Amino acid sequence: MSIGSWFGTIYDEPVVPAGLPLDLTTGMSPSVTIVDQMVRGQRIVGRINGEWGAIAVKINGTGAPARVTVSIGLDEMGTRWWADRVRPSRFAPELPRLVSLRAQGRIRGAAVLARRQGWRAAGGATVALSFDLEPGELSADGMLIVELAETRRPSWADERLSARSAVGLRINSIAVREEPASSPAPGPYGSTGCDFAVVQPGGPLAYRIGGTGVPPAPPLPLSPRNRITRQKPARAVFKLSRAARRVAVRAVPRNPGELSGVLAADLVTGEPVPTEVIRHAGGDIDVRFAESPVHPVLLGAAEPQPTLSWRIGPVSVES
Amino acid sequence: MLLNANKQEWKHFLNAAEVFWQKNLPAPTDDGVIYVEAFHQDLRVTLRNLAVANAIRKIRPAKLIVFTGVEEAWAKTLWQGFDVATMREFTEAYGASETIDVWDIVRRSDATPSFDVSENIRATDARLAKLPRLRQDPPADRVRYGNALAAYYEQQFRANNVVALVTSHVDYDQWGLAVDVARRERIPVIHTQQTGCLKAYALFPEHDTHTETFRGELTRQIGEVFETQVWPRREKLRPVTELIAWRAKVNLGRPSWWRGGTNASVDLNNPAERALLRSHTAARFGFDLERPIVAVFNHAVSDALGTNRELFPTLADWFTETAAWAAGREDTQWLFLDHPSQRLYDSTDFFDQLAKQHKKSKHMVFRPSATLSKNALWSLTDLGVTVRGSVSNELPAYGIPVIQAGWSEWSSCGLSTVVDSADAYFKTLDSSITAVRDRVALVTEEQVQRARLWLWLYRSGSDVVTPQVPQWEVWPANTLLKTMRATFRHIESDADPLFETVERMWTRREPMLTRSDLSGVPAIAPAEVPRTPAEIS
Repeated sequence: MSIGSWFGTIYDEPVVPAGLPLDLTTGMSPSVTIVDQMVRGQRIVGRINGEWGAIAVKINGTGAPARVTVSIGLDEMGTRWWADRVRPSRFAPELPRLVSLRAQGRIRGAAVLARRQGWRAAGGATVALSFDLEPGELSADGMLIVELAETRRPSWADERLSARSAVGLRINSIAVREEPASSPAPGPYGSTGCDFAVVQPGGPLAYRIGGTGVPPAPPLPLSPRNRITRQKPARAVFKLSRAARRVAVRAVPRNPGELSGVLAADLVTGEPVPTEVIRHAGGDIDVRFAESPVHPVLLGAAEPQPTLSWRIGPVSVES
Repeated sequence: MLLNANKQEWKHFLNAAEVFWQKNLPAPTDDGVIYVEAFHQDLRVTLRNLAVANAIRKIRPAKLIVFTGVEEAWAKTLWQGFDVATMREFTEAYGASETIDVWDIVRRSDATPSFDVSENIRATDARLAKLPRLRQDPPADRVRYGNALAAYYEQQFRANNVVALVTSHVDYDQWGLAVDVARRERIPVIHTQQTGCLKAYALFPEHDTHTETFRGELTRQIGEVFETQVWPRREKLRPVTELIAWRAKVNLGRPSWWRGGTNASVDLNNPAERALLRSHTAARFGFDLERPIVAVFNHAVSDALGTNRELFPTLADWFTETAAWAAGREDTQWLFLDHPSQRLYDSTDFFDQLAKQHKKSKHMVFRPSATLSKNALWSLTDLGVTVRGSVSNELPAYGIPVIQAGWSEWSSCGLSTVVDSADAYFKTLDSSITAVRDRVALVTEEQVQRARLWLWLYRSGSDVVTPQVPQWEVWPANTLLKTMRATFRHIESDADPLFETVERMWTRREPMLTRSDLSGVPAIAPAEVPRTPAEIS
């Protein structure tokens, strides 16, 4: 008898397979089978509390190809969870998160998340990542497993991206539609909030990158560690000083300058990816790949530009 | 001391306890004495000792004498402000006629005992210095203390008519030497446990073969109880063991001391779910799904060395040699997991050093176990290896085979493969890996049932629920004291399970305290096994 035959007890909660199309927006659904290194959510699917987090959903598929869209979020609570577990330096600014998405045992994409910093607080960052399941990958009585995890990153980006990137991230929702894959799933385009972007596997060959200035990120608040700092008056002082620090950081004008150039690296092998870079008169840059990448590729500014937010979109190769 | 309580609450508690025990205990009629130790800083530990001692005093009136005190190395490594005066207040409320500061006497003593205590001294030294291996020459003070303690205990046990020794620990100098002396003087030793409600083991001189350590003798006797009293009840207990198996899986109940939080709950229910998660977790470690994965669980390396039968001189030797053997077995993938509380037991970076030595072996992964969820662990592990860890109970209860390179409380209950020599250990490892590779089942249905029955015995059958000893989790101190005050002031003591169960254990000379009477043939015929929870209710 194989291992696993004795895992069950008569008290286990019954799992009810979800039908298609699926829009999963809660972790409380009876179709959610495995929640690994995640905490189930009421209005989101769940939040990651380890180096990686995975969720498996029982789905009554037909074996037809399907498109899956996973919405990933980073919010204030996520940064709190991260700071509580990682214990960063009091002076280290918040850094963008980079995570890979693995489904059915294969890496399907990656996402970079950076929050927009405001005068009083930072906004949330959300990325919707789509990928296609091949025929047979989701059969009747099948299971879909989605995992967000830290990914291999090139050395030039190591210091510029958040350590233990997956901690605190939320999976807001998972949508599954059975449909023949007419074209590759469109990658998340638009503003990335930082000087990085990710090109998804099987995506177009050329991308245009533009930049706009954004306020720099202040350090994250740390939960009080000892008996004195846990007291209410002390906490109020911390809160005030944090607000003051945020305003001070925000108020200093910074000119991010022009896009400094683009580096590209494969997020599975860690190897650099050859690209052709064309600089336009308006300051925008076109990045062209010789062939469509098979793994997610991280694009990043050649020089750190923490106050620059990239805007990425596909362009046709002829233009 | 771990007594971060309101002073007024402490006084109320002492007051209530004093009145309660004054009226509930008969006066001693002879010179009988019960020795109780109070060396631990946690109130809950001494509370258990005193409750058991007083329950014995109820049936065998005797004086209560308490050993307490604190020594610098203990204070430095483990305790936070141990206070003898507070301890004295506590023990006196429980009716102690004398509370002796043993360390105060030992510090000034040069006495030597009539037997060799060097092993105990070396194990104590390793623990206090947080070393993975025993030092040949422990510091002179440690040696002097060990000898003086044993000599003092010998003198005390010989000078009085001792009825019993009640102790929370049986290892290291302050506790272990008292136990050694008690055994030599043929005095019953009651060993209370620091989990659940009230759990205690007992070693009575008439059952002591003096061929094993204290824990070794218990292992043997627990095995006998399991075989003769628990295993025959398996059909009757099946619905309950099923519930406990579920509760253990989702991290409810005790023991779950080695892992807390949401990541300790398991969602996997069948081989398909395990295989799905395995495809992801294996990729994280760069493992091949199809090849066997063996998980080796490191222990808290300096914890209670040499206190039960082990195949290697120390736990660190076992781990090092297993890793060395694994390095040559590239056909297998190895997950070496460190104990979650290791930093309290090791100051030498033992685990990280070993990981560094095997850095080049890609088939070996070294990780702190807490960074891996139990879901991930169960999905990866084809074979578990430990000396005495609780995984040797937990994994077989869900059908994952485990090899034990030593004895534990449950190792004679037939849950895991317990090997008895280093040679046999490596041979068993080899044959088990072959079996895993050939997909031959290593765990029988009977083993699973035995492991689940042990879960029942450990968490329920041998855990006495009494208001006199609130569950371990009733904490912080103020909450515990308030609960205890309510017990002493408002609950009538008549037929309290504390007194009934201790009396049963004491008069029948049983090796463990049990919630209900397990002796005799099960009265009820095997029940039909319900299939759904609804059928049970």
